[in-house]
Order: sequence, then structure tokens, then C-alpha cells
Amino acid sequence: MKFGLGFRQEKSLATMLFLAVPLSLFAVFFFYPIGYTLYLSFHEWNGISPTMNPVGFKNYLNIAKSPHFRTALLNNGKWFIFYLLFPPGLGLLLALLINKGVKKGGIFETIFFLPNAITLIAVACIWRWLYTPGYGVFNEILRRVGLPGWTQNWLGNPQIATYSVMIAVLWAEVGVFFIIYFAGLRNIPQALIDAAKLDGASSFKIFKYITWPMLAPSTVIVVAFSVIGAIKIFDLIYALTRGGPAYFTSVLAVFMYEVSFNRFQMGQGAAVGVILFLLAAAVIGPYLIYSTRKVEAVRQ
Amino acid sequence: MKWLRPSLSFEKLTIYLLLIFFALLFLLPTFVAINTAFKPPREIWEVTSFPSQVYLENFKEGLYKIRRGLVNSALLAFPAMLISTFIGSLAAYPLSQFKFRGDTAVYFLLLSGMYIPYQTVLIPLFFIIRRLGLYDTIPGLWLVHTAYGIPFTTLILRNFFATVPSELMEAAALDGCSLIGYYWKILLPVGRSGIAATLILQFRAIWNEFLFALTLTQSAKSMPVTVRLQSFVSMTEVHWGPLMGATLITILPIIVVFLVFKRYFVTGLIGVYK
Repeated sequence: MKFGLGFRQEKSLATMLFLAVPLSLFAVFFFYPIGYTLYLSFHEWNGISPTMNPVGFKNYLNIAKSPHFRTALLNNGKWFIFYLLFPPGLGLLLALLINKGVKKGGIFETIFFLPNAITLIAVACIWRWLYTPGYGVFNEILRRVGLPGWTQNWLGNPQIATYSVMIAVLWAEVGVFFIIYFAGLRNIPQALIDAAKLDGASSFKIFKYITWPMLAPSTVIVVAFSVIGAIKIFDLIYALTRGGPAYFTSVLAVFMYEVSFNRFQMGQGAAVGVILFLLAAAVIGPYLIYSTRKVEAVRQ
Repeated sequence: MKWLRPSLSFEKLTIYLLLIFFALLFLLPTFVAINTAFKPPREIWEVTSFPSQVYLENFKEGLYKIRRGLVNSALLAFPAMLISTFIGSLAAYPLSQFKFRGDTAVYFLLLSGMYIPYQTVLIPLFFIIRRLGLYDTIPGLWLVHTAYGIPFTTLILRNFFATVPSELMEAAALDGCSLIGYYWKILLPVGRSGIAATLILQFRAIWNEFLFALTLTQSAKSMPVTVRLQSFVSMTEVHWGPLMGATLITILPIIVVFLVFKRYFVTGLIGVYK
């Protein structure tokens, strides 16, 4: 060994050296702001004045009374259900179809994933045009196929606006769900499926007893993706509807932005930030623990 | 009688038809955007017909409106993707190669960082960036994308570096290679496909990003293209032709990157979750 220091000492020195910058940045941009947001949520502050008023739980109480907040929270709940069912379902269906050994599968892969590669703001531009009320693209297509009664003010009707945004999200985000399931399907040994076929198992039985159980690791990732997607959703709603009409399509992330950066009620905005953090921790916490344990198990 | 058997089984045919059906549905929005972008103003509202001529003014006008945003996004995305990938590779080295006290805690923190709702840090972040004098500047966004990119870049590179056999390190140590030398001379070159995937995914993430850009810039001199495009679509009277032109121009770089580097996109995205 040529090392002046013992190999061990050099290892721990290198560890500290290499982790110093990333972990400092992490502390400054994650720990500090989270703590500060918590602090701010118990104060009243307009973002400019040099002093903050401590107000206890008043921000939280005010939020709880606000109908905008309740609608936003309810919408996050709708997004939660949507995200758990539709992007994983469609993603799995597309992955299963391509995995049946079709030729030119690569082209389909590209087509299904492409919307996922582009910015959600571009997605919003395209879908606002598709959803234009009156003589917009979807309404015209419906008239052409003889369904004039189905035409809608897609983004303007409070009853359906959130569902319209969901269809745009499905288009934009199903690609990543598809890719995760597709990779999972490729990891299933073909011999296993061939053996089941030889034994006369139907496609459905093969799916139920082999494919689906063996996709469990992919499903874990997909569910993590889904639940956090439902909490974090912001860009597409902000760009498509700004939470409107009124605040019928709003979600907590949009509500937080409005309160903080348009109304300058920093304390209330911070309180929404804290609520979002707690919701995220509740839905993703089990996955984080599971995933960390798995890594630990691999190392030992 | 083999020649009588159809070359495509009924099952395969159904699968193909379903796939083609879904593919057409998925292509429709993009197709409509392209169709609209090539239409002169008087044909814009004939939404179910093709353009009568190849009309390029929409692209010219759209490009004119977002040109500064495109330049800003390029000035933002290239340096930020390099810096954030480099910082991630630093942390990924010990995490993938050594066991050390607290390694599990570091892993847990980084993983949590990937899922944090940014609204939880947004207000303090706004004031940190102001305090640093970086509000409404592109370097401010470099810093933000580097910091918030750390969980993703570290974990993806950690997983790529972890595939480097540990015998390599022992052999290098016997040859007198220091641990820092090991990072530069062995890990980075051996892990280059992982680094390429990280760079590409960071480029896409930064080019596409909206919330930080919206919160931390306010003037044309630093506003990335996503914020420009958003203000364009939020106007009360939208000029759809130029908007579709601008939208297509905005997504073109990412589409090209995706088509060229598809393999890295996919292995990278899956690589984070190992």
C-alpha cells in the first residue's frame, strides 16, 4: 500500500471531502428553508416589513375557514385518486401491448413517451387550444362525428374543468408510467411464461399469477410517483386555468403560490407550505423507509 | 396447408390495432398544434381542415416573441446541467463506493429531497436568492437548479457508479492511485454512460422547469422560455397561430435531444429507482 495515511483514514477523509459541497448545499436549500417556512407559518408578514407578528395558529385557522383552501384540498384528493388509477392503468396497458413482441415497438415507445419529454407549459398551450370553447378543436371534432350535444366549455365549466385538466395530464405524464412498467416486464424471465403456457395457462391467469406479482417492484415505484404527483401538481393547472374558473380547479400548490406571491400573505402561504410538506411526508414516507431499507439490505 | 394460415394471428392483429389506435390518440394534440402553426390567420378557426398553403409567419412571429426566453433558457440549461451533474457526481462517489457512518441517513435525506413539494421551500428560497443579489439573474437559477438537482443527480449517479466492480478500486489502490485520483481517472470515465444520462435528463428538467423560473425572475433579461410562453398563453386575447409556432419552437430542442438520446433518457429514468 502506497498510501501515507491508512486506507481507512484516507477513505473517511475522501468521504468528507466529496460530501462537503453537496451536503452543505442540501442544508442551505432544504433544511434551512423548511425550518424557516415552519417558523413563518406562525407569523404574519407581508414580505416587506422589517418585523413579523407572531400570531400562533391564526394562519392555520384562517386557512381552514377559507373555501378556496377547502376546494383546493378536495381537488388534491381527486388528483390522488386519478393518479393512482389512470396513469398507472394506461401505462401498464400500453406496456403489456408492446411487450407482446410487436415489430416496430420502438416507434410506439417514442410516441407514448414523447409528451413526457416536453415542458408542461407547452402541454398547456396545446391543450388550451384543443379545449377552446365554442369552435375549438374538440368541440368541432364532436360536431363532425355527430355528437353536437357533447360540446363543452371544457375549462370554463366548473363541473368538468378539473377532469379536463386530468385528461391533459394523462396525455403528458403516462409515458413515464409506461416506461417503468415496460422495464419491469422485460425483467420477467420469458422461460417462466413459456412454462405456464405449456401447462395450458390462459393469458389472464399468466397475468394474474406471474406477470402482476413479478411487477411488484415496478408498482411500488409507480405508486410513489402517483401519490407524490397528486400532492405536487402545479405547472399544468397554473398555466391552463390558474385554478379557475373562480378557484374550482385550484390545488394546494396553486393556492400557496397565489396567497404568497400575489397577495403577499407570507405567513398563510408558509402555513400551506407546511401542510403540503406534511401531506407529502404522509403519502411518501412509507416508500422512503421501504426504499432505504432495501438499499441497506443490499449493502450488507 | 401452411400457406393458408394467416401470417398474423388474430391476437397479434388486435394488439396492433389497439396500439395504432392509442398511437393516433397520442399524436393528435401534437398534430393539431403543427397543423394550426402552418395556417394563415383567416384559416385558424377552420380547425378540422389542413392549411391551404405553407404559411411560416406564425413561426416568425412566435420566435420573435420568445427569442430572448430561448437565449435565456440556453444560457441557463447548459451551465446548470454541467454544474449540477458535477456536484451530484461528487456525492455519488462515496455513497456508491464506501461504507461510512451515516451513509444510510445521507441516502434517506437525498431520497426525501426528490419528493419534497417545492412550495414548502419557496418563500425562504425567494428571500435567500434576493439576499445573495441573485434575484432575476440566470446565475441565481444555476444555483437553484444545482441545489435542488442534488437528490436526483446524486442518486442516479450513485446507481450507475455502484455497478463499477469494487475490485477495480483495490487494483487501483495497489497501483498507487489515490482515492481522489480514482474518482477522476477511473470512476468518471467508467461511469460515462451514467453521466451522459444524467446530463441529458438534467438538461430536459432545467429547460422544462417552470416554478422556480416563475418565482425567481421578473424581467425579460433573465426570464426562461417557459415563463415567456406561459405569459403568452395567459393573455385574454390569444393569437393561436403564433402561439402554436412558439410552442413548437420551445419543445423542438427537447424533442431532438430525446430522439437522438432516447436510450439514455430511458435507462436514466429507470436508473434512479434502483
